[in-house]
Amino acid sequence: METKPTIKILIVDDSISARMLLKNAFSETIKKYAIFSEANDGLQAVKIFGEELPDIVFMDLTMPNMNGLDALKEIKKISPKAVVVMVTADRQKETKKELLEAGAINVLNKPVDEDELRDICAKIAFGE
Amino acid sequence: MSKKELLSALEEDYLRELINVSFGLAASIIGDMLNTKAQLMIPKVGIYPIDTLHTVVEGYLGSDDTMLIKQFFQSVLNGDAYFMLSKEDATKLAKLLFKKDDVDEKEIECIAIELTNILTSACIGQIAQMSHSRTIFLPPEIIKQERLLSLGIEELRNFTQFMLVETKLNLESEGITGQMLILIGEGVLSIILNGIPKE
Amino acid sequence: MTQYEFGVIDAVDSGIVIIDEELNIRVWNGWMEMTTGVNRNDAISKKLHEAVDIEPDKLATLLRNINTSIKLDIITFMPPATHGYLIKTPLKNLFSSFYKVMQQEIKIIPLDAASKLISIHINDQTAMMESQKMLELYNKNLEQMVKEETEKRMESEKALMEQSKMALMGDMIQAIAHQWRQPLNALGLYVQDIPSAYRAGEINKHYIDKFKVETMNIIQSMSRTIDDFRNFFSPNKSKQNFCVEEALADTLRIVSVQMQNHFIDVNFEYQKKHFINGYKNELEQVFLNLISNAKDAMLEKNPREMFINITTEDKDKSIAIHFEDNGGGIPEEIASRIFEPYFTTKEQGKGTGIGLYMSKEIIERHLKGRINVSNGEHGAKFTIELPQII
Repeated sequence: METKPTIKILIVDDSISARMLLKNAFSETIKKYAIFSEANDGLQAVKIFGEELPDIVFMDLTMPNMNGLDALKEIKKISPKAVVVMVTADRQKETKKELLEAGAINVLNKPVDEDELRDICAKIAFGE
Repeated sequence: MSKKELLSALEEDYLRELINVSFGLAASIIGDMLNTKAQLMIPKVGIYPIDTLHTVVEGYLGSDDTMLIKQFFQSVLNGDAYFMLSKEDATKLAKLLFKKDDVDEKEIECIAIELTNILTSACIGQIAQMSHSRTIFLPPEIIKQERLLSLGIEELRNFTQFMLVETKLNLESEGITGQMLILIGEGVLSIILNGIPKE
Repeated sequence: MTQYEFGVIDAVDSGIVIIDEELNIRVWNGWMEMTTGVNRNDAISKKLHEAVDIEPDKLATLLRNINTSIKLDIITFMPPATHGYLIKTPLKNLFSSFYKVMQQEIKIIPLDAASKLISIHINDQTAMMESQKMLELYNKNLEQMVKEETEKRMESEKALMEQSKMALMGDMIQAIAHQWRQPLNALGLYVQDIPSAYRAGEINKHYIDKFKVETMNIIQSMSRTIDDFRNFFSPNKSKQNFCVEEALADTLRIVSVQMQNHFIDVNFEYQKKHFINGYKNELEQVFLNLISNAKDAMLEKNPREMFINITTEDKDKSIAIHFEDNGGGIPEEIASRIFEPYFTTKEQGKGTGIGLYMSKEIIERHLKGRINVSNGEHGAKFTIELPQII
């Protein structure tokens, strides 16, 4: 029996619509092979990360209870090699710098561009 | 309390996210303009039936001190946008922009108009983009409160609802609050909500 | 750009300047040439602020707007109401009372995201701004005029009120004189009798007692007259609920002697009592006015029998009071004007009292009622309608 390859993707955003929009933005290929889990805020994100150890985390920045930056740091503590892509409406350079320094592999601006998303997934898949 | 239109939690969440995204870009522009770190807080968004306009507006236009800037726009979405900003906050912005403490009336008007233009485009532009239509904006205009408050049944007959967006602009040194009113007509809301992603 | 496209841009009735990110001019249309006096050949390739004079604060605003336009891909504006103009241009053709330089509306339009070209539109809005200013001025003038007229009106109403008050006092004194004539005569008789009574030796305790009692009676009735009139003519301090029929009765008491002297029958009939809210004596003065007018009309016409019939009529939410006389009625032309201020059919100095104008004001404004006149069978019929309290 063949098990198809899977990729575990955790999507974190306090907006349901944002999570849905991101999910829809992935390429068909990814959607075929991905298992998605979702979190509502930073606290939940850290918890689910610890439980499921997803392959990639896509995380929003401004969230209640624990924001994306703090959650990023926590996740990095659990697994320094964690692959986290920040997805945010905030386009300022300082913000991007701060996130990259905290360990994000990349920062995507909302609204997420499908091509950009595909590139990032490709880079991660083939290791960089 | 004015009765808000009943939007499902998902619909409200979607509207908020829509505007939040466009505010992201707007905030970076404003930050550039004012040479400071700027963040437009996730807005509170509500849809109200048009006949509650007076009540809602009166609540915000309390003092004489609130500036009112109107901007009309036209596209598949027609509407009138009104931005409410306190004179005090506008003055703070002007001081930041012109880098001086004594700003005159014209300079305060200047920043109020530019801010309105940016925010209206942010609120409407994103929505219009999704419906793949071009939007035409008219120049923003500072108006007296009476002109908004005196809109009656006749003038409002083209509109069925209005959107109220409450926003907070967080700058390094200051916090600015403002409210955007967008009057929309029949069917516009459904066009907007059409964009809600399906599972 | 094709020749055709350029031709259109060139012929357009407003300024079009296309610049790149560094403000180098790529396109400079005919309007710009005419307005700034700078030739296309001289403008192209120069930077905008090198080709024409732009004040530094306006240039800064322009740059800011260009930046916003490019980054957000939106049109930005510099409205004339806030900025006035971008390029200072003295007015040549249009005569303006308010402006010395062209008022310009500036639109900054991002043309092409890739090449970062910007189109700047300059629109001459001087005429529009001029009309707006004119309108504002007219409105202000209008407001001022309305204010002045209102003040004048209030002044003249005050004057009218003063005049009425004086007339009223005149009436009061006359009425007292009327009422006192007979009692004074009577007193006079008693006093004049004393010398002859003395000569006849009739002055004794009995005489003196009788004298005292009779004259005091008369004096007391004269004093009551003063009280009646004072109550009638001094203004009530506050509104009260009162009975209309009683007010009528009080008024009739005041004029009863006059009416008798002139042989005028006053018939007052009512079925039940009705109550209204207001200033009692103001209403009484209106009644007095109507009765006086009726009296004057009848004295002039002089029919054999003279009467005033007063009736009250219940009209559900209101009460109607009818005053009918037989003074012959009011001619058509006069009827429409009798409620006007200063209108009178009497000779100079003859008419007195508060007048129908004041009566109408009192009924309509203070008592929230109506008053009108029609011609009945024998004479004029005045009807007052007032909201009643159930």
